[in-house]
Amino acid sequence: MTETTRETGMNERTIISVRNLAKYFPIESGFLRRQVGVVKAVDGVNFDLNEGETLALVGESGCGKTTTSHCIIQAQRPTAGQVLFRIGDAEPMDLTRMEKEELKEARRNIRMIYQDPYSSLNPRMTLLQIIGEPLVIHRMVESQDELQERVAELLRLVRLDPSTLNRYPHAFSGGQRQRIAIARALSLSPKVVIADEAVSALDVSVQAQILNLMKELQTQLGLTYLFVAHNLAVVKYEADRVAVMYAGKIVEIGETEELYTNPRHPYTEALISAAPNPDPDTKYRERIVLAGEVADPGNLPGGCAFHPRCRYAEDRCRQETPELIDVGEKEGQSHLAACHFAEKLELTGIAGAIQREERESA
Amino acid sequence: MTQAAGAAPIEGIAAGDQTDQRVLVASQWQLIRWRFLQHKLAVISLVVLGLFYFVAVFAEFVAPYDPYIFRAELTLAPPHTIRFIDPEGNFHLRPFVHPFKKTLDPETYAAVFVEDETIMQPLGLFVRGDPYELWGLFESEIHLFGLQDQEARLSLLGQDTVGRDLFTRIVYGARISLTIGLVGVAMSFFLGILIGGLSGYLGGTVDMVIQRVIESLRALPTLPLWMALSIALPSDWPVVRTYFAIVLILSIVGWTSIARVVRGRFFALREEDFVGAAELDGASNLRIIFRYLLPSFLSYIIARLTLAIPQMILGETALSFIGLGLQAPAISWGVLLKEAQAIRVLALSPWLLLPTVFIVVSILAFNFVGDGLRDASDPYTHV
Repeated sequence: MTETTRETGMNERTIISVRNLAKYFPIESGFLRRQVGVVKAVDGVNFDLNEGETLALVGESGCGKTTTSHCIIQAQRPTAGQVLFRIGDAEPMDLTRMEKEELKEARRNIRMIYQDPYSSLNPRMTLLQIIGEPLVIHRMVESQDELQERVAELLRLVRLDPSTLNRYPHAFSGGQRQRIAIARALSLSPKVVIADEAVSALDVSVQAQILNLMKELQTQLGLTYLFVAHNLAVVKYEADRVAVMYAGKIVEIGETEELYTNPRHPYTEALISAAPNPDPDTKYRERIVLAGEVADPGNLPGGCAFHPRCRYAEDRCRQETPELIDVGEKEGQSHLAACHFAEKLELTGIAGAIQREERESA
Repeated sequence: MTQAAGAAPIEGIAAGDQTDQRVLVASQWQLIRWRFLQHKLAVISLVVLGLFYFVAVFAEFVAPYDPYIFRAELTLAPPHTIRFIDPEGNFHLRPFVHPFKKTLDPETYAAVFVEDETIMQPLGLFVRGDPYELWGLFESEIHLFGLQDQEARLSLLGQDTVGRDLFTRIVYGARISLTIGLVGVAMSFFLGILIGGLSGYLGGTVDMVIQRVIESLRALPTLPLWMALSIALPSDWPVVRTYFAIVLILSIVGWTSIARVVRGRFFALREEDFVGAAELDGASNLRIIFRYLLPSFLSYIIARLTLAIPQMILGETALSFIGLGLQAPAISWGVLLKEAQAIRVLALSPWLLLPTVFIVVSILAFNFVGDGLRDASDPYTHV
């Protein structure tokens, strides 16, 4: 798969292809707003989103995952790079070069769900107005009756009572509000849905409901998800593939199962070990505690950005920036990692942790 | 699992009683109204204000006399006692007054008004009196109330230094004193939203310049500023033009606080997720401003403006009182108070200070209504 993508364009299953995406924010200082530096929030990100799959973008706060998602939908304009988007067999279009009107059309097919369902719904509007707004703006309905019918249908789709469409968001709980946000995202029958930490603001019990709902809707409507998250447990359940970001770059990307059991980047290993394990029997699991803070994207360390926190770091890591290369062992699967020692290191994934415990207890 | 857990909260809502049902489908304005109605003091104040404005609008009709016609023999006559029981002890359903008889105090030679108990002058509704033109359009001589005898004068709140009816003058004064607040605030509103909106929407250099201008204006002490500006007004201007000039002077400082609020809210709201979501929905800038930004803080602005009106009223009163605002023959509460400046008045004719009562009542009423609106305008914090 990877052989064809880079050179000859997009793979036939690819719906969005992100190429060398970068977003820099200038650091200004003083009265005259002189630029004294640059924050590289996203720096050279490449990945393909395939139709019908769920790709999770994970990483710590401030690693650029949200900025990446905003740059894809052009809520923020990227500094450099391309975001190619293709519907069916049509020519891929570069979203980054689109003018407002074109973008409005493209955004019918790429929709977004926000993290906080309390701030993403206008408290002054009823469900009918909130969910119907995209339909009205894109002139997809002819009459008020048709609008009501469509909104009721969407409410049923997300398992809300369609008779509630004249209520205001204040009448709903967090989980219900997120269903409303999903209904709004689906109102234009999109191809791709970007969920920016869509369940992070919710109760754990409600998270599961929303995740189940999103999975069902994916099967039912053939949706493609880009799932931005920091919770690996959620990602493990939801995603087909996972991309791990650190300091504005993708450090590892691969199939979920493969990445979790056989991580090839020390950062991924640390993330996996930090995820809480709900199994009470595995008491002796080793936790890798990362020292220090996430790298400051305004002042990145030289070489591999992760080296100050990496317990395997050597001199080479401080000087050379590692490329994202294929380290996959299984046929037909791509597994990319950006680590000089990706091939050599013996890193602990989920299964590894369990094995080690068995060894220790034996 | 999804089914069971997901359906339960919906049933919970549906099972709520009648009141809950109403709250759930209530619009923002309905919620504000309900909360406002719970604020008893604010509701009473609103009624008082309604009454005041009714009086101001229909001043010619409500006032029993012409504000400029003076009766020299009644100079500084005190308020009448309105009676139901005559000197013989008989009860009359129709209230009446005894006319004043002016005598001289044999010791001080001061004029003393004593009631002539031999004459009874009954009050009446819709009586004939001084002719007037309501709003300069309808000629009439019917007044809401007065003495049935056209020649006699009812001294409801006393007479002023030249024998003009004080109640009549207070009623006419309400017209200027109460509207100057509204017009002034409307101007502040307009300037504030326009300039604050530009500042918040454009940001950058424009924002910086506007903010510095606002800071400079706010750093000026208001009273000297008003004084300086009002001295610049030509004294031969007609009353109406002076009135608008004074409003303008008052608004020069008034708009700055509103501009700041608007700018701040613009900044804050533009970062809200629901505004971002609307942009991604494809909503145009105008649609976002009018459907998302303005409705989100309009209620707050209205509450703020209600609280700003008293400042305008006080500003006009203060300016007129020190003789730099409106001047006679214009009638405003401030002008009336200016006429009561002499110390002699305080000692001998305290009723000339009655306009103060009206000023205090109307300002308190505005403040209470403003409080009620402010509390009510954010219904989502309590529901």
